[in-house]
Amino acid sequence: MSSVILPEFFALLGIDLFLLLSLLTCLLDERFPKALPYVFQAAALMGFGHLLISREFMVLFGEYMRFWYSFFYLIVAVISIVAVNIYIATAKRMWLLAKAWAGTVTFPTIVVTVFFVSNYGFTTSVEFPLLLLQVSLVVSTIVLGVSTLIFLSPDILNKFRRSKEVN
Amino acid sequence: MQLKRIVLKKEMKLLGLLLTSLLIASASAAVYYSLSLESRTIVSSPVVKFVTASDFPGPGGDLTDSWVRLNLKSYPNATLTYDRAVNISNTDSVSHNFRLTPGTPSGDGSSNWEYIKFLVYDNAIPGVLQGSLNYTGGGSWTNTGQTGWMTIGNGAEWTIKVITRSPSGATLNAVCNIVISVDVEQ
Repeated sequence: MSSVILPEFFALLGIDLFLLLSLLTCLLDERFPKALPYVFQAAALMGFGHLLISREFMVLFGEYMRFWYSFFYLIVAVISIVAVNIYIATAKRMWLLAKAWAGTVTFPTIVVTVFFVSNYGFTTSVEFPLLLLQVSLVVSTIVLGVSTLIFLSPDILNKFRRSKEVN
Repeated sequence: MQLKRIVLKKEMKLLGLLLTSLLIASASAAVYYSLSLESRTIVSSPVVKFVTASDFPGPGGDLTDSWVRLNLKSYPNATLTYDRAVNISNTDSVSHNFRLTPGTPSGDGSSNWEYIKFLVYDNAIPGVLQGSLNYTGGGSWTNTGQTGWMTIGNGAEWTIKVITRSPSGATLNAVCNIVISVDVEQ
């Protein structure tokens, strides 16, 4: 039985994420390079071309290949969102905006992506490399550990900053 | 004044991006929708299909689930009957409607045949004609046209009886090819 969602759904999701990024970076244009919204629009447009090519060569490519290139496009979109988040936090040092971005954009995007990808993997029995699972488990554990530590003793962050300044 | 110009510039930029975003998003969704329509086509074996019968004309004949070639004979001034030339079987769990649609005969001249009749019977109630398609030769080929819809029950098997006849002056080894489509309502 065919799956409910097609592999191209991930490309469609990636396009929407790029468009979202484009509009958000336009709204916050004084904090980003002027060309960034247009770069994201171009990336979304590339995704559209990608969908058209997929439609034309659907039989030739096969479901396995279609899934992996659509998934790769989505991953690029998600990485862009995370990269913008890191840019705000590190290069611009806008902690409040970075936290807001993480809570309203990065985290929901990752959750939605994981939900659809795992749903697709479950219905079509796509086997993800075991390394991917191991790396994501390690990253999740590190993030969880650091978050718990900061939550339990908020002063540790200030101490860490001060010790860096002394050095 | 300058601040107002800056705000206006930003608004225009945002509006432009918003419009192109809407365009890209809707065009992409339309392409995805057309993709989902295309990929719903599943190749499967037919549920109403041809099966061989006791009088199936063997040499030269060919039969698959969805296609059959009957290599029929016709004798001058005599009637030849294939009581069970080919069967139609409904392997589905529900009944289906089907009908026979005539094609135009090709091959040698129509004057070599008086008629070729295709009669449809339900094997469960033999002798009761369910539908017929008759080709009449002579000066030119004519036929009785598409049959009405016939309902074949689930698990039922029907048969097609074929009767041929040629005139006394028919040319030996004359060949005529007739294509008949079986339309099945799913």
